[in-house]
Amino acid sequence: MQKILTGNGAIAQGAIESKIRVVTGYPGAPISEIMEEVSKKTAKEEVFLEWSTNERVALEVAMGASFAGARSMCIMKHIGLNVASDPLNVVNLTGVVGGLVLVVGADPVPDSSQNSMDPRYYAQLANIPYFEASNPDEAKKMARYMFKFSEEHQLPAIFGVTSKITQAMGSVNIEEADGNGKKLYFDRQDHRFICMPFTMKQKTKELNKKIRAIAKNSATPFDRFEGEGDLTIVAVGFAYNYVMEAMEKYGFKAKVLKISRIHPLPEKMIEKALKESKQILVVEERDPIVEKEIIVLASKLRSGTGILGTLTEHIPREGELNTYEVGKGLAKVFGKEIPEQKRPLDVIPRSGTLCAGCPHRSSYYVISKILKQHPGAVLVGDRGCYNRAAAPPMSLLDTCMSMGSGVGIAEGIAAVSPNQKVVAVMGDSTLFHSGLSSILNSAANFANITVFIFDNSYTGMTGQQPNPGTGYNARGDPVVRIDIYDLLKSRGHARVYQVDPYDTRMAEIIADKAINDKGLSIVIMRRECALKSDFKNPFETVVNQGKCIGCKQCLKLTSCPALVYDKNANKVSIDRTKCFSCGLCKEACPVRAIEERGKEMLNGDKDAI
Amino acid sequence: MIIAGVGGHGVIFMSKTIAEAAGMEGKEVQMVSHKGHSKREGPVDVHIRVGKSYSPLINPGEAELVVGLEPLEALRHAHFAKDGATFVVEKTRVIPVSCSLGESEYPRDIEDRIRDVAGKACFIGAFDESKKIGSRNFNVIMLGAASAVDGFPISRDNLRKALSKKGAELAEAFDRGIDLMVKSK
Repeated sequence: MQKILTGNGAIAQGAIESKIRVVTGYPGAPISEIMEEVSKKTAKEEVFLEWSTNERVALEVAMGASFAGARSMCIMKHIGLNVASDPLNVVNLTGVVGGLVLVVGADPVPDSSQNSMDPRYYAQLANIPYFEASNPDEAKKMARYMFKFSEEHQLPAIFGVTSKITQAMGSVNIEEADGNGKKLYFDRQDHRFICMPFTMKQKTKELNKKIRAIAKNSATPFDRFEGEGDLTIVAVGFAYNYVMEAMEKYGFKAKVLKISRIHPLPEKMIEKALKESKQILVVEERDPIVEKEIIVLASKLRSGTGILGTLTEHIPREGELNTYEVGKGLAKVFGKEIPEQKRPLDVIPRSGTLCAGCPHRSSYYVISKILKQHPGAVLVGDRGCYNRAAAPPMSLLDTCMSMGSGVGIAEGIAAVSPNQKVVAVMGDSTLFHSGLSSILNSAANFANITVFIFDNSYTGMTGQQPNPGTGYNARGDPVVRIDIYDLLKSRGHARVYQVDPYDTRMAEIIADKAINDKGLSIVIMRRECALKSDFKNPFETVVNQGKCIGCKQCLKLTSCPALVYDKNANKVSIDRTKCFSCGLCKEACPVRAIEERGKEMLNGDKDAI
Repeated sequence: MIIAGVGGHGVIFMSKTIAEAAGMEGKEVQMVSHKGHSKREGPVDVHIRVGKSYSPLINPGEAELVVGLEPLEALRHAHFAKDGATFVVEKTRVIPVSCSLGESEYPRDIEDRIRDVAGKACFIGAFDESKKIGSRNFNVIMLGAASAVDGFPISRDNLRKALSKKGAELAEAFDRGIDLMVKSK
């Protein structure tokens, strides 16, 4: 049976067909939908799902399930693999029991991350298999194959994806499910899961032996030669599509070696390519990882075949590849030229901003107002929706680094620059992810900082997934909600406050007090994400056109997308389809032109829009 | 074809409907969406290729149809259109905050710039139409309008069938879209 699925849907399907028992992960583009797909298609008795507090915990839960014999999958972004790398670099050595597949979403542009780092290095670092697919149907087959492969070699394996494969939609062949039939029971197996110096020499040796054997003896069903020519193009993962299309479009002929297993490479195939071709062009997105491996193999074989690719600047290293870029590389190899491609027109950007009604906007409004009284104040950001305020037009944040890093950075600045007020902002999911340990650290080390926790009850940026502060789990089943105020108030010498950011006047009083406190103070700005909230203001926020003087203070202070400025009339009005009636713009208006009115009054007043 | 809009327009829903309808007629379809900050006023687009192709991505200068749910977003994707391509564009603007703040100016010449590169350009009022029928299915009206373009690869009957599975009122919105296009011709 054929079904149209996204790449994410296909990976979920492959896992379900493999009778997966556990899926864990931390949400983020481009892999979040995998969890939702598995959740939709399975019952809680069949598959245990969790959005873990962070990627390290996610991998550990999946490892435990695998040790007890279950097939398990762990999903995360490329940067999440940094967080999970600690357990990854021991589970590679102990190996697994039930198949364990990590799905790692990379972001070569980057479109929605702080960097475009190439996660394939982790496959080399941990010396574990790494696969990439070229279309959704192959992704499904690959997921199925990888669970078996992981079990056969008793190794965790990484399925590397980018948004081009996860957000692609195509026809996928649905097949019968087939599990591993293992009895689910943890067996201690004579020190197998003990990673201590006395066991490690042997384990390291075994891992290297396993990977050597895979490299030498096995190719995957996804790796193959196509066509003929003196030039062999090694087409890696999704780039295979660009290679085939570029050859067809621009009329180049070459032999193609399609590669899906990036680590360890199928050595026999590479050796064959080295023996039979005059030149090899490696086409891979991001860093020259496969290219360098092929150079090493060529050197071992004393091959005279020329190896071209990213290092020789035939293929760009930064950003995503496309048919045109690959075509240009091919043209360079063949000494030809291809017609130039149409360029985008000059169009003003449309950057994402905080949603209308977002409680973070109110929080920022309050914090910025207080910080104006403290020249030189530093506002340290973190990762989440609230970092939209780092970009124009708001441009409020002074730093925005890696997940959970803000409080530590704030503490460091405050430790050496006592004349600057240092304020950190952090979301609830970031707190649960890794920020909590920084707060404990700052409390224990008498940091002189103020931390605002933007608690909107969800992991908002990635699509409102639940976290421990939400009250339900990845399946939507109710669970105990961890209250951040209760969690933090036990920090003896830190002062902890909680306030509703919509209540801007109260929030200002508390923020002012907290920022002027000596030592560590924490303010929890608590209000549910506007995209999830059923908040209904009984009054609509309206701009009284007769009073509006067109000063745009409301826009400047809030950057709310529901406010629309009409240049000709020199007035601001409110886009009713977007407005949440949170009332923040009313606070920001210096001439009280923004009013809250009941609908009956509104109908009778011709001045109002 | 390329469908471009802003977060909240329902671009992804439109593309899924097209995929489903293509499936009904046994047509091979590949598509890929790009939706970075779709819920936060960011641009969203989908590339759709019907028929055999290696990758779902459309190269600049290759799209036969550009459906813009917002004028600025149609212009942003105009370079994907091949010579003689058709554009179906909603007239209602979604003004970026940077424009309201006066940091950049919403272009006034969008219709002209699109006409310069298009073989045929239709600017319609699907958003107003959606308000008239008390329906929030602006995207479905746009889909109806797009389906009325000559040479649209999927039959209207199958699109209607795919929609009716999701709600009876969708078929009406779809037909309104077709009417809009017929009128604009």
